Amino acid sequence: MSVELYHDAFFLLFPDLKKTADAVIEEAEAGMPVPQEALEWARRVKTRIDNLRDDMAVASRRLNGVTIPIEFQELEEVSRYGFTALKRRLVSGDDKYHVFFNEISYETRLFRSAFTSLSTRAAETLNGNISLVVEINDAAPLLAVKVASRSTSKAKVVVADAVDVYGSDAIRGIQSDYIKKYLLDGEVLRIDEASEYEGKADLVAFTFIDAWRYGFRKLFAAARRLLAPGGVLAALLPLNSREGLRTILWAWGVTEFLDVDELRKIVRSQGYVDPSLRVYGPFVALMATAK
Amino acid sequence: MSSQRPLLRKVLKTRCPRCGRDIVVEVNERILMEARNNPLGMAGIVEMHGDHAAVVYVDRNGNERGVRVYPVLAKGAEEYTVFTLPSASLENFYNIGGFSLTLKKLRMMIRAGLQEEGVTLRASKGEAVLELDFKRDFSWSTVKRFTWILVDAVSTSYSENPNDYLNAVKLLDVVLREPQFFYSKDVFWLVTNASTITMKTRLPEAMLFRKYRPSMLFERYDTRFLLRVAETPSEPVSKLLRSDNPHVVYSRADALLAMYKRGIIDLVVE
Repeated sequence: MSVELYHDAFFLLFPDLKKTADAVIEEAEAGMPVPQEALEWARRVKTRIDNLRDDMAVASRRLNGVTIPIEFQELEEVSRYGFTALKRRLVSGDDKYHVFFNEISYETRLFRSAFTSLSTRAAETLNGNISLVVEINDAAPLLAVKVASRSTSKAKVVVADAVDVYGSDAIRGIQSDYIKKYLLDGEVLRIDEASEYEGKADLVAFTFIDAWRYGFRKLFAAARRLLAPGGVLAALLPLNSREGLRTILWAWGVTEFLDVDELRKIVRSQGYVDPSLRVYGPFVALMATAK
Repeated sequence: MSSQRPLLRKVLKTRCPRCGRDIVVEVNERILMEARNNPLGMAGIVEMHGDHAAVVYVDRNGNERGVRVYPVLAKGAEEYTVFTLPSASLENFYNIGGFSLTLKKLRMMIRAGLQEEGVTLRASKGEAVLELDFKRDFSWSTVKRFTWILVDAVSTSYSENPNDYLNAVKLLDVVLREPQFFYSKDVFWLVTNASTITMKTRLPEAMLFRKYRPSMLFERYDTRFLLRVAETPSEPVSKLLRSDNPHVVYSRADALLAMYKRGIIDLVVE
């Protein structure tokens, strides 16, 4: 299935996203406690989806007769759950479902293939000499612990969070659990407190929605600061320049839009060399080396 | 400087399900703090009603989450129900030679293999006192650290089942042998409350968990146990944790907490 058809298929999720927004508005109208921020989110989502009605119709026509592969069916299923998790996060501030959404997303076929490729290639590139791995702003830092577990010595894992992610006790607890359960040393800290690790990381990773929300340019710049010369960047990114996935991720607060050319440009401008891109449906696994 | 009373946040009124007596409890900052630090986000407030104790459970927002009644066998206000466990219950212990655990709020005392002159460590927190006797010498800092974690967990426990506490001391015995093994207060707490808590699976989370099998859990815990939990609508935690092997008890308790932290199961006081 081509990348374009994946984007068309993401339009199939618009009605579910709209239903989620409707549910938030209905709860507020019924007098249930709904934060103003959640209500504004719901109204914005409804307006945006209403404005994209014609695009939805065009995408539906293009999908006519197309067999939706299992890879997309899995993304569809976990994304539907992700909307539920997002609503709970916005309305009641409960992040545990968001963490679970992260973890099951990693187990879909597309993500698993990309993760396996990234962790294997990163470990091979570093030849087991890994002493410090940093994951930026991922609720479930699976890639960092997987790579660190393949170190020939005991690697340290640092999870560097933006303020909003760090502010969630549920997420911070899970991130610490990842480090402990994989029997690694490490810590979870705020990204603006990570200066002691600058220029020292053998590998920096970022892979999912919370990282993407932080902003692609900011992610690449932060990773560049943290990486030692010759250190490896391993990232999973969305190709969300086309409508479809664009609005789905926008609902989560991802407001920058990438395609492969744009991605190459950013990587080069931020001082990385030897970029390697592998496309997995509407996502791309990127590896690059810091100069 | 005079000691300050904890700031009162709310007064809850409810009724004892056993005797029908009105219960009025004050929810203050100390109670809310206890709920915030509790693995299930709850704290219990005990009120004695003669032959039984009513425990009002309060969540971290100060709302009532149910009332549970525990029998109190002691006749007088100063008397404790003493459970003396058979020495066979300690036969697989490697480090701990005996223990005595006093739970003032439930007026319970559990003793096993402890001689009067045998106490080598006494740890207390709130209304829980744990006395231990050891068979061998080892790092004082290790003993102190893990014993404190256990007594801290026990101080907020409401189980009346002595086996829950025996299991927790069994875990302590293993921790002292393998201090590199990661144990937490939450695990001790779940084990010491196992008889009072029921696991309930949540949908669609349990279905998605079975289908996608998140690596973090399926690489760290027993797959059969995880799937058994996810396929069971409701089961007492004491039944899920049942095993003679303290390593297995620990691993299962830890797995249940990991599932709870992701919203796959609920752990409810019943």
